[in-house]
Amino acid sequence: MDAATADHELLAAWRAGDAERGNELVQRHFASVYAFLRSKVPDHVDELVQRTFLACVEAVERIDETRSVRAYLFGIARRQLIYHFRRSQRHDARFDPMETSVCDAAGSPSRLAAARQAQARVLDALHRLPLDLQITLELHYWEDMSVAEIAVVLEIPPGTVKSRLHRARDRLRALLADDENAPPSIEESVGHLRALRRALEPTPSAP
Amino acid sequence: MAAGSTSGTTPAYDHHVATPAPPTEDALDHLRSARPVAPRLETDRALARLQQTLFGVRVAPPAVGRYRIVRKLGAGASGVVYVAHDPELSRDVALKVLHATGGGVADERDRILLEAKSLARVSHPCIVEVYDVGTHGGPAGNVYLAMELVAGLDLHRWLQARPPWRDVVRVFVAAARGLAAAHAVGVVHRDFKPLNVIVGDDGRPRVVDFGLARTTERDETDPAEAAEADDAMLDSGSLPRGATLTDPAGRGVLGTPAYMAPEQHAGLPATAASDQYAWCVALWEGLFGRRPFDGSTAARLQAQKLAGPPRPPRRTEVPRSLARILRRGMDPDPRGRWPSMVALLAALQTAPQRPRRWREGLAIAAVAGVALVGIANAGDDDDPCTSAGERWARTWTDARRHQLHAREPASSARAVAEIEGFGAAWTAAHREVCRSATHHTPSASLSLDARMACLDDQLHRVDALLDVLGPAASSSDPPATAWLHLPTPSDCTAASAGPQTVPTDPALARAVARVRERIADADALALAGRYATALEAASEAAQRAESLAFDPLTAEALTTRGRIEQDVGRLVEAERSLTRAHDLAVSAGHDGQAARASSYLVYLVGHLQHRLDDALRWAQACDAEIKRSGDEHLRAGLLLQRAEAFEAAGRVAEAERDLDDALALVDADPIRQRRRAPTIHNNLGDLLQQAGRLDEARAQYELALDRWIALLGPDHPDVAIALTNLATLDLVEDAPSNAVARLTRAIEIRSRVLAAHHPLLISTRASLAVALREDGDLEAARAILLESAEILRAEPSPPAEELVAVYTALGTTARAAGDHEAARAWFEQSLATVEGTFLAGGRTHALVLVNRALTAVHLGDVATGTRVLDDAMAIEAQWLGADHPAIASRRFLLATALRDAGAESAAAAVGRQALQDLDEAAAPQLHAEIDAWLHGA
Repeated sequence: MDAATADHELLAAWRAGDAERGNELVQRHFASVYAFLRSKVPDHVDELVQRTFLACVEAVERIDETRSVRAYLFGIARRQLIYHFRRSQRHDARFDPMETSVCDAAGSPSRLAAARQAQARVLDALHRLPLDLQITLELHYWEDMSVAEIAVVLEIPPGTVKSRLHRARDRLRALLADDENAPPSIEESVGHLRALRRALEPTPSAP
Repeated sequence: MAAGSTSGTTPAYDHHVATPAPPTEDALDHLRSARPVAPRLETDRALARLQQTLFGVRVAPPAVGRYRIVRKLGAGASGVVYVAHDPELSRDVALKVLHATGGGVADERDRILLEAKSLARVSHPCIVEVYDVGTHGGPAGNVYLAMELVAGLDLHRWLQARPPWRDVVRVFVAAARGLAAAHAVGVVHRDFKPLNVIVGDDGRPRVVDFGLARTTERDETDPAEAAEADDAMLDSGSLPRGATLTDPAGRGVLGTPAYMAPEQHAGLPATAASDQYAWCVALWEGLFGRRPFDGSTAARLQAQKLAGPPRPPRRTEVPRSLARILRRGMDPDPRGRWPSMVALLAALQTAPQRPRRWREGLAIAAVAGVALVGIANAGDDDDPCTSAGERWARTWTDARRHQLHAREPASSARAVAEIEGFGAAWTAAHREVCRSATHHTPSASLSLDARMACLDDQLHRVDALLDVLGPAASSSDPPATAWLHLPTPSDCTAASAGPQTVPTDPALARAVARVRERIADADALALAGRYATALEAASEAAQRAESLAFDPLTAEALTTRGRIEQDVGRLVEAERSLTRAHDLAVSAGHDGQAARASSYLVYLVGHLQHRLDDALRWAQACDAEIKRSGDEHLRAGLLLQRAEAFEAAGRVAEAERDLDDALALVDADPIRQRRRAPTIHNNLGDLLQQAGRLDEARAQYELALDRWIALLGPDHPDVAIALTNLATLDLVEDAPSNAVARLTRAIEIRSRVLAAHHPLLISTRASLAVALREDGDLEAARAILLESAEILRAEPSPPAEELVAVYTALGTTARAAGDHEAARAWFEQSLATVEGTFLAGGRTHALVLVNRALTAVHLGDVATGTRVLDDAMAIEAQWLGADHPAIASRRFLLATALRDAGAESAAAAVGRQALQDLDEAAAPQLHAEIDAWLHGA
C-alpha cells in the first residue's frame, strides 16, 4: 500500500466518522505542513497551521478522491498564507502572490538560520522570490511533488507548472547573482507634453 | 540569545559582514538540502494542540523533565529556550535545552552537567537563578536547565536608549558582581556580551547564557587552526558579528568576535580573565557608544586587540579614571589585566573621588543594593557651576528618550545623537563660562551674566523642543524634526561683546528670563505645527514683554509672533509684528534680532505677497544688520528668502544665483546649516525645472534626495518631497512607470505619519493617479482620485488647492478615457472651486483653464476653446512673461488639438501666435517643431 492509497483510505474512514483515522492522517502530514508555514511566517505559524487543518476538516467531504490529499492540504496552507498576508497588508493594497515575496510581507524569517552558509544564502534568496514562485520550488525540491500535485496546490493548469519552475529557478539564480537588489534604472526619453503635472504638486518647503 | 529574557526575538545586532557573491551555478544545488526542519519539540507541541482542537484528543503538551513547554522564547548558539511550566511548584520557568552534544562523548556531557550544577549552586541576585538541571531523552540526551524567568530587556536593547553613563556603570557593575560570583565556584561565562545580560523590569540585571557547551576537545585544538576556522566563518560573511561563534563542528561556544579576548581568538580556553576582558569591551561600548575594536574580520579584530586598547574619546563626561580601569581590563595579556573581577570592582570603588578637571564632583562610591556605583553630587544649589550636568540630566530624561523613540523609531537614534551632542556642548560651555566666572574681573562679569542667561535660554529652548518631540498629539502631526533646530551653545560663549540683552536689575532679569521661556515654548510649538497654541504663547510673551518695557525682549517676542502669524496666513498682522520687531531691535542695538526680523520680512512681502521691491529693501537692511552683528550664519537664511522673493517674481537668474551662494555658505558650515542643504537643492530643482532645464533640475532633486536621506533617514517624510519632485520630472520626460514607483514610495512614507486627509498625502495620491494614467492604468487612476475626493469632501473645510488638483486630475483621466463630457464636468467643478479662493488668477487657475480649453476643442466648441485659452495665457504671461516657452507649448498643444478636430484655420492662427511670442533662442527645439508643424509637416 503506497502513501497516496493510505491517505485516501484514512480520508474515507475519517469521512465515515472514524476520528482516530482522521487523527492519523493529520499526524502523517503535520510536520511538513508545519515546516512549510513556519519558514514563511514564524510568528504566526501556530495560528495558520490551525486554520489550515480546520479548513481541511470542513472540506473533508469535498476532497476529490482521485487527487493527492497532500497537495490539497498544501493548497489550503497556501491560501491561508495569502489570506494572512492580505490581512497584514495595509487596507487597500492588493496582495498578489506572484508579486509579493515573503520577505516583503513578513520581514526576514530566514534570519532564523543561525549560520548563513551556502544553504542559508539560497534560503534567503528563496524567501525573496514572490510567494508562488517560492512555493513552486519548495514543493518540487522538498516535497517531491509531481507536476500534477503542484498544479493542485497553486490552482493553475499543469502545463503552467513547468514554465513557472523555469522562471522560479531563473529568478533565484538572478537573485543569487547580484547581492544587492539594484534600484530600478532611471532612463531616457525627452518628452514635451507638460500639461497639468505641476499643478498637482504643491510647492514644497517654505524656509 | 538571552536565556531568560521574555523580550522575544534576537535583535539584529550588528551589520553583517559583506557577503561575497556566491558561485551562482553551485547555489541551486544547495536548494534541495536547504530544506528547513522545524525542531521536534516545537512541532510536537503544535501537533498536540491541533489534535485537541480537531478531535478533542487530550495530548499532554511535550515535556522536558517535569516541565511542560508553553512556548518558544528564542534560540541561541548553544540551545533553544522555552517558557515552560513547572507543575510541581506551579510557576513558569525559562527552560534552556542545550543542543545535543556531538560525538556522543559521555565525558563531555557529564562535564556540562557538572558545570551546570555548579552554576545552579551559585546564588547571586545578578546571575539568572538556575532551579534545576537534568537530561532529556535518556542518559544520552540533551542537557537542560530550568531557570528563573525574567521579564525585562536585554542589555543591548537597554543600551540603545543611550541611558546616562552613570546608569550604564551601575548596571555593568552589578553584572560584574554576578560574574565574580560565578568565577568563585569555577564557572566561566565564555561569552559575556550585552545580549547575555537581561535588565529585569525591576531594574536588576542578570547575567544569563553561560557558555556551558564548551568541549574539552576544542580546548586541545591547534590554536592556529582555530584562528583559521574563525576567520573562515567571519570572512565568508556567514555570521553577524553580534552572534556567538560555535566551533565548526557545532560542538561548543567559542565566543562572540567583538567581545572575546585575544586568547579566545587564539583558540585557547577561556578563563575568568577572558570574561573580564569581554566585560570591559562591553562597558566601553556602553559608555562611549562605540566598540574599542571594530575590525570587520576576526583577523583584524585580533590584530587590534593585540595592539592594545584605544584611548577614550576626547569629548566625554566619563571620568578618565574609569577609562583607565577598563583599559587595564583589556590588556592583550591576561596576566596584565586585573587579577580578578573582584579586584576590578575594588578599583572602581577606590577611583578618585574628584577626577581632575571635573568640577561636577563626580564620584564613584558604593551605594546600597546591587547598585554599586553612584554619583555623589556635592552640588550647592546656589552655585551655578556645580549644576550643569545635573541640569542637563533633568532635561534629557529616560522618559523623554523613550517617548522620542516611540514616536519615531526610524530616526530616533539620529535625534538622540543630536540631542546628546547638544547636551555635551552645553555642559562644556556652561563649565567654561563658570570657570571664567571663578577668576572673573569686575569688567567681565556683566558679559558673563549675559552668557549665562544665553545658555539658560538655550536649555529652556531645548526643554521646550523635547516637550513637542514627545508623543504625537494626532496622526497628522508633523514628524519630530525639531532636533534640527537645536541651538548652538558656542554662540553663547562667542567673544563678541554683543548687545545688552540681559537687564542689570536682577529682578527684571528674572522676569525677562521667564518671558524668554514663553517665547521658546511658542517657537517649539510652531515647529511642531501646533500653531494655535503657539500663537497664544507668542502673544502672551509679547504682551508681557511690552509691560516690562525692555525693548530687546519685545523685539524677540514680536519676531516669533510675526512668524507664526505668517504661518497661519495672517499676513497683514505678520508684517506689522515683524516690522515693529525690527524697529525695536534696531533702536536697542540688537542687530542679530533685527536681521532675523528683516529676513523673515523678505520672504513675507517678497514670496507671499509678490512685492519684490519691498522685499529687496528689507534684504538690503538685513545684509547691513548681519554685518554689524557679526552673525554671519544668518546669511544663508537671507539668501534663501531672497531667492524665494525673486522666484515669485519670475526672476529666475537672480534666484538661482542666490541659491548657489546660499549653498556655498551652507557647505562651508555643514553642522549648523545642515538642515538647509536639502531644501536649497530642492528649491534649485524647482527653479531649474521652471526654466525648462530638466537635466539640471533632476540633478538637484537627486542631490536633495541624497541629502535628506543622509540627514533624516530613508523613511522621513521630507524624503518624499524629493521623490515627488523627481516623479514630476519623470512624468515630464515620459517615464510614467518610474513616477509610479517613486510616488508609491512617497505615499508609503507619508502614510506613516500623515492622516489620510492631509493635503500632502492627497496631492501625492493625485500625482500617483496622474502617473498611473500616463502609464495606461486609467481605472486605478480614477479609483484613487475618487477616493481622494471623498476624503477631502468629508472635511469640514476642504482645502481648495488639493480639491482643485483632484478634480482636474479626474478631468484629465476622463479625457484619457475619451469621455470628454465627463472631463468638461470635472474641469467646470474645478474652476468653480478655484473661484473666490487665493488660487484665482494664479498658475493653478491657468492650468485648469488650459484643460478646459482643450476639452472644449475636443467637444467641437472652437470658439470657447480659443477664448478660454487666451484667458489662461493672460494669467500665465503675468507670471512667466509672454515669451516664456511654456506659453508657446500650451498654445501649440491647443493648436494640434484644433487641427485634429478639423478646425484648420483656428489651428493655424493659434499656432502662429505661439510662434510669434516665443523667443527662439530660449527654446530652439520647440520653435523648430512649431514652425515645421505650421508648414504642414
